[in-house]
Amino acid sequence: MAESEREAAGRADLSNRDDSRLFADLRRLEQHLEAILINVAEAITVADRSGHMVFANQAAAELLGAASPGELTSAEPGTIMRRFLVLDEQGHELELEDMPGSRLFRGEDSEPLLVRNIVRATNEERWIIARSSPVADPDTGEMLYAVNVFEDVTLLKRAQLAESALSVERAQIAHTLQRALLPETLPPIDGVEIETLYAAAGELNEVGGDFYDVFDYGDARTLLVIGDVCGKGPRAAGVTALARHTLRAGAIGGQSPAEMLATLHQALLRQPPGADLCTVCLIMLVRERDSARLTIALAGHPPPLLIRAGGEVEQVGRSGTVLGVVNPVRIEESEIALAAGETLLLYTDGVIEAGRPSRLLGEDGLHELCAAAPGLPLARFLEHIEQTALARAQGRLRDDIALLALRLTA
Amino acid sequence: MAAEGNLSIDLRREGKRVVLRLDGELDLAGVPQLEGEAENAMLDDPAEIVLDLRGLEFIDSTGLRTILSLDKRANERGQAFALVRGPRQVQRLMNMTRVDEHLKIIDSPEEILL
Repeated sequence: MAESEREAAGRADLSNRDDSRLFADLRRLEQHLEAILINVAEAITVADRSGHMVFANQAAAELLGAASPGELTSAEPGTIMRRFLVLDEQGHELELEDMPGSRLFRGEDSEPLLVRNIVRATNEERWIIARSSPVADPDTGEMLYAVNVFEDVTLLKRAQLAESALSVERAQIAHTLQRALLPETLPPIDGVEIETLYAAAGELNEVGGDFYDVFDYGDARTLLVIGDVCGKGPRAAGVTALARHTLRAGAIGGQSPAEMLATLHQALLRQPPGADLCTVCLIMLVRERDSARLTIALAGHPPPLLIRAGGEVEQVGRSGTVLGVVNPVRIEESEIALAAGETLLLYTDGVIEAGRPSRLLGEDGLHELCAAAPGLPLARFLEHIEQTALARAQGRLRDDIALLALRLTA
Repeated sequence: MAAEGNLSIDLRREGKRVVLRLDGELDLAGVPQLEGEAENAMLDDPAEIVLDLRGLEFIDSTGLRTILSLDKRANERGQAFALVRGPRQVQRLMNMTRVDEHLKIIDSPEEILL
């Protein structure tokens, strides 16, 4: 053998040895990868263009209800999927061609897809996120396989559904409670027209602290109440109920407005832990021949506005101490007359705070709105205030609004 | 400076006095922050606690309730508690609820309390 031939044979031998070592390395790597894929917790399948599974791991077998990965890889394309009713989130039935892997083979984008898998035989349900990525031939670029990863999100999805059912329930409870805190209908009062409006801020599932009430004594007297309990939620709701019923009991017992507020203050102080702050505006209205006499008592509450027939606006009542927090409280009654054609507006501070900080309605803004009152039906007047406040707050009130307006009827 | 929502609080210690300067809006969203900062301030057992309200643009009844409960806690610990008078809206609420009759209100944070 010539020197050169020997060298060539040696090189070939060497290259054969290299090849076989490379092959063994690759085989080992492949085995390692397969061992890893077999054991990862996510369900993984690899499917070819026909939909035939060339690989499936143990988790995939479990998720797809097969005894072993082998059952999946030996199944005809599509037969596994037929065991399930596969629905999208909206409840539409999905076929194999709707799945991300099939979409990839058609050259379409493949977003992860949340599906509801129901085993036809048992009705067992699972929520699954299916993700697919393509494996292409390195030489031709042609897509050979879709690698599908299925994530079981059943527990997460069930918790989510339960949470949303719960929040609907919470909103309903809040709504019911809120209605219970406000009078369902106002008693008709001879010679006096009364309108009220309540607009809740923010989430439906929070009970607000604003309240109003109209109590008819059955003679010439009527008690009008508007108030605001600090805070929101069940605790504020409880205090609101306490306030409304304490005032009613005081009215029945013949107390004057200032006495009713003093009684409510004592009731609030006896609430644990004693930090329930409450503001109230109380008005005792006594009807006379062509007018009404009003006795006003304020406890930390914005003063009512008296709107003259010509549209002039003035605050009435004297500041009194907020209830439930500091001792002693000082409350002074004041008396005014309400003539025909005049309007009285009681409100909570949510109105004047609407739009804060940059688009604040404020007291001045409310006074301007009141100038329009004489020309408007009472209900329309209150809607006008509410709509302006809502517009200032860009549709999102940060505090509740309660309004009560009255006018003598001709 | 701690900021959360629309309230920021600056805590300054000056010997036996702690001054908490409030800027922005003190409403339900800002209350936990004020509670936390004030609790920190009180732990050092200062003789005087001052809430500087001059930078406060807005306060609601929950903010007022918090200030009243801080005043109460300070009194229970034998600490002096005062507010530096805030802008019109803040002062309006103090007057309307007549809590200004129950709180010590001063015009500048340097004013002597004791």
